[in-house]
Amino acid sequence: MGAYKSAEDLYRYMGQIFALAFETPGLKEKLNATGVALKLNLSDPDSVIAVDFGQGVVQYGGDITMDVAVDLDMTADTAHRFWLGKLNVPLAIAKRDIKVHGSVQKVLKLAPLMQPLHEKYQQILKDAGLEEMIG
Amino acid sequence: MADNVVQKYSEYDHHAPDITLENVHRSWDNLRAQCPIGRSDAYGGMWVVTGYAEAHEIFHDPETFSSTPLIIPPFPQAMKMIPVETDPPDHFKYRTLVATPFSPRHAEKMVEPLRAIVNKLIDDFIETGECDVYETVATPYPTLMGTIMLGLPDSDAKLFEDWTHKIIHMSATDFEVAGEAVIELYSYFYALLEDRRANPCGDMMSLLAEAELDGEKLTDEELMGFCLLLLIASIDTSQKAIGSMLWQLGTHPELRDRLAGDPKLIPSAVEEFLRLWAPVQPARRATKDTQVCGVDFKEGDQILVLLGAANRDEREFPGAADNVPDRTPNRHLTFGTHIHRCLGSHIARLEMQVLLEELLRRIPDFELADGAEVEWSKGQVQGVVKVPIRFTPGPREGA
Repeated sequence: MGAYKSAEDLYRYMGQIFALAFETPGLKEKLNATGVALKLNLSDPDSVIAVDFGQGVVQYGGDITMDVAVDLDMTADTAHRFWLGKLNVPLAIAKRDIKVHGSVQKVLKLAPLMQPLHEKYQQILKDAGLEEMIG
Repeated sequence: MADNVVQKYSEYDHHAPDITLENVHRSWDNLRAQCPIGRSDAYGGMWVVTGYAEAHEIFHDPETFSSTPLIIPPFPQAMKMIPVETDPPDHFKYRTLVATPFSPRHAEKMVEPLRAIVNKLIDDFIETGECDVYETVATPYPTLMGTIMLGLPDSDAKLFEDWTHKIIHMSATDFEVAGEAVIELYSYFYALLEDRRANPCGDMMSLLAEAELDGEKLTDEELMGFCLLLLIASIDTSQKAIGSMLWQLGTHPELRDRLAGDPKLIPSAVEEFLRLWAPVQPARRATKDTQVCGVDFKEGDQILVLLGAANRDEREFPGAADNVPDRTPNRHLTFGTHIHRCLGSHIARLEMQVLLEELLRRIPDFELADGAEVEWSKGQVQGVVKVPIRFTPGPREGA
């Protein structure tokens, strides 16, 4: 069993981090400037998050209507480790823990921008009483 | 800035687009004459070392001057390059793991394979009377040598050259392209190491796949750190050193004729080429507040050590700009010194010696082509990267 037991929980907590990203002055502009739209296709639990960084729009599961340039396939645990700041993205791609469909360069442009959010993700989990997920 | 010669340390940027073969050494000489260490504004501020004694002192104190990061700005590498970007005491353990294949005894075994590669490459152009010898020899020769050393298929040589070029020469200008090359390189070696774990065959990759530190197998991060360094260091640095050597020979017929007429001079001549054309300009980071030759370094300061400049310091090398093929002593810093001395130095020397022996035997009258445009590679691996030559055509020797 992975860190997340349901897609609903994942959307609730991982979803908040995207909302926070687009509310953070300085970061919002950098994310918008990338113009990248991507979709996270997660397994265990099965869940999908689509993010248009250019427009600052996030959609979940069956509500997704946006077109994206990049699809990323990974387990929910891999995504969780990324947000905790414990994932080496280039190595994860090399090991196929993250499968990239589309431009790897766009992923490499985005990943370092997320660094300030790792602490905030941990705070979200702490506030929800989920310290055990931080490890 | 007359002829784009750098006048002040504050202006110095090793990636500046206007660095050329014509001004690179004049800039370094100009800066060193002012002071052997100065402060540049580039990349958030960095110290730049141009003096020999100062570079030597910094290299001999790896506890105070960490080799992480080695590159300014860093490659998009995700993991330290091992062993060069590790510090004591870990450094020794890592280096020991791969030391044997790079020993002088093992290097000697490479002489005949090297000679075969060189002669095959010369066969490919000797009937034409002209070529860009950087493209025909300096580029493929170290790559093919690297494939033998590392146990990689030579059919992938172009791939290795492409990754190496993007990582070393595009990281400062196009981080994403370089990053993608790093991932492709990691993916390639990750799959190769998986294969070697299942089918060990005694090559370098098998050695790494089976290596243990303190009773534990190396982690994926450590393995990728080794692979990145082993590949790019075996290719790009030698290409630039060889390119510069061939350019100098092509423009100095008296030197070329002297070596062609007295091949026993070649080993010491190679040392002199290495001194004059150090390709690698490595970085260091101060781990604490300290002082070198009256300059105060603060903890965290980054330092670019211009070995190419240190090797032309008149205080250590009288007549430093001159090529003296039998120069003695010749304590150049091209391979670094102390604990980070280049593991591949023995192989690199042999590569250059064998190349000179065969090239001067088969096309002893080669010279730079009329009106040839020469290119200089900037950044932290520097050298001449375009050397159009002409020569009296000769016969192929291979089948």
